[in-house]
Amino acid sequence: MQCLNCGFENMPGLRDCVRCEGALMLGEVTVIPRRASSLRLATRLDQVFNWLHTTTIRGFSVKIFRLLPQSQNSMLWPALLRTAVPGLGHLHLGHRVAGWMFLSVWLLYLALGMATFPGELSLWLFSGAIATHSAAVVSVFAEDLSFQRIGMRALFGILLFLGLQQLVYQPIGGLIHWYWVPMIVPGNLLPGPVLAAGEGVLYEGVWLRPDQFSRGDLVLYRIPDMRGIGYYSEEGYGLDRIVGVPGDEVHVDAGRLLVNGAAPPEHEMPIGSPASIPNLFIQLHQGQYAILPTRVRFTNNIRFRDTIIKQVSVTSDSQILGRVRFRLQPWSRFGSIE
Amino acid sequence: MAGRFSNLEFDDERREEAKESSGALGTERDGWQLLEQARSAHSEGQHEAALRLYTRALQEDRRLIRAWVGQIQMLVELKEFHEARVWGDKALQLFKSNGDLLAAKAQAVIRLKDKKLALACSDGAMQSPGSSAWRWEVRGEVLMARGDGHFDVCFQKALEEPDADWFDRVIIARIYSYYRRAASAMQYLQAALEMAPAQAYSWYELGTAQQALGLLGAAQTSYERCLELRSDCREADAALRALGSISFGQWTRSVLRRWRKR
Repeated sequence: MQCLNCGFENMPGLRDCVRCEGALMLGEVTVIPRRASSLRLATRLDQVFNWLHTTTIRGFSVKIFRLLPQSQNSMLWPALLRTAVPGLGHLHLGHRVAGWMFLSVWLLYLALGMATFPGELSLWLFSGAIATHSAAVVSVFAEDLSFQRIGMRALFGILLFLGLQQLVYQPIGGLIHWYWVPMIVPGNLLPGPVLAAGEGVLYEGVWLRPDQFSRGDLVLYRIPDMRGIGYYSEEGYGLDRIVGVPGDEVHVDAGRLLVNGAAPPEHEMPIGSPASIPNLFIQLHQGQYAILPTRVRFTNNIRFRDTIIKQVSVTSDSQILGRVRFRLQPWSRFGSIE
Repeated sequence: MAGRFSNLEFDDERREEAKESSGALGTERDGWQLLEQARSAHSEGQHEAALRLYTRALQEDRRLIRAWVGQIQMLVELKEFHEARVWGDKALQLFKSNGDLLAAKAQAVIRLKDKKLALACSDGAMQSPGSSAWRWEVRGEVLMARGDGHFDVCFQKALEEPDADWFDRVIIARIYSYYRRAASAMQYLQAALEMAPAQAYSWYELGTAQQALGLLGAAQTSYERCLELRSDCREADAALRALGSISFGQWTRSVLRRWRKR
């Protein structure tokens, strides 16, 4: 009995070839292939297991990491590097319409984000810029990604978005925060000519924050929560001028402010009127600054207001976040804060 | 004979096609003739009918390796990749290390995205005795799917094989189309049509590639030419009707694609 596969002459009666192990009894073999059917549970389960197999962490990571080096397009890597600015990679590849589209949309998002900075809308607009950037990178890879299933493509896009956000845009934002920190003036401040609640301002970050402050510096400081018998004050922020530095004696008497026994010049006066401050005398020690909360809105019981104000008026160095320098919002009042 | 196939798990549509194919079968039961008919149905793009004819050919003669390969090819063409892989394993149990069967399994496996196994099968196919256009075609597909270079060289090698004809160009074009490289697919289809201009299936595939590239006018002409040659081609008829009612999204995509090609 000759094997059809290798041609070896086998002993009669054998079922498999002794050389290649090929079947010799072909007459018993079924030749009707199993077909895929939407009703066949086994087939569907096989497909699910196969899908799970190809999308396990190993298979998934291999797919993702092999995606980039697999590309044979020599133009792709220079284009990808240029996509650091969305659209430039497409222009490099000669896709002018797509390139200009990505570049203009990205710049538009950034411009609008800057214009509304540091409001909540700016976060959405900057996210739009990141999404545009991700789309530009995905578009550069479009040809290679077309081999992947739609789920993988979507996953690639999402991972790219998160990667760009966490590894590119967030570090850039963090770096900027070391110099300048944007913030919205907290709502517990009373409206006034210098600053009002809801305005967007920039204060100095840790790299620009001085070791020692001077009288007249407009600073953002943290008001800690305060507890005492009969009162409780929640944590918040204050924004006012420093009226006393370590070693000074600050005296408020009947609404009149005296620093070291003399009235301070105009640019060293608090933003609000000292008339709202109760009579107090502060001897400032090392690391303590006097900042009168002339613009802070206190909602506590009126009986304990004076007690709280006296406590808040002495601020330690660690509670001062930095000097407030620029106003970003509203545009009509854009500029440095004097 | 039809009763014997009534137990197969085919849908109603497939059953209708089976009736058509059984009608065209005539009284000839010889395995080789059935194989030729299957090959003919394959070259006309009637994959369901071709699968049944390959199966009948095997019922006549189980030694026809070409029919086993054809069955796997048809399962792949019908997008039943998992079944094709299972059937490839079964055929390879009978015909160990057969190059064409290994190549067919490699195609099924690569469509299941198992690139490592596909490459191993393709390597085995290339190392097996003999050579064929089919092995080179699958080799090209495996390399293309893996993103390795030189897949176009494999396709050229396939066309240099003595058994290569117009239909091998269509097979290569279908591979390109599967991986959404319609421009390359169109080149091979045009070459196939230069060799055999009266093949309706080539015109249909050309129309599909042109439609994918956004060349809607040319696609319409190709579908019409296909229907001229084979008026019962339902796929071309449906595609032609779909062209007339193209959605806004499809139109936008085609325009954007053309701009990107500039």
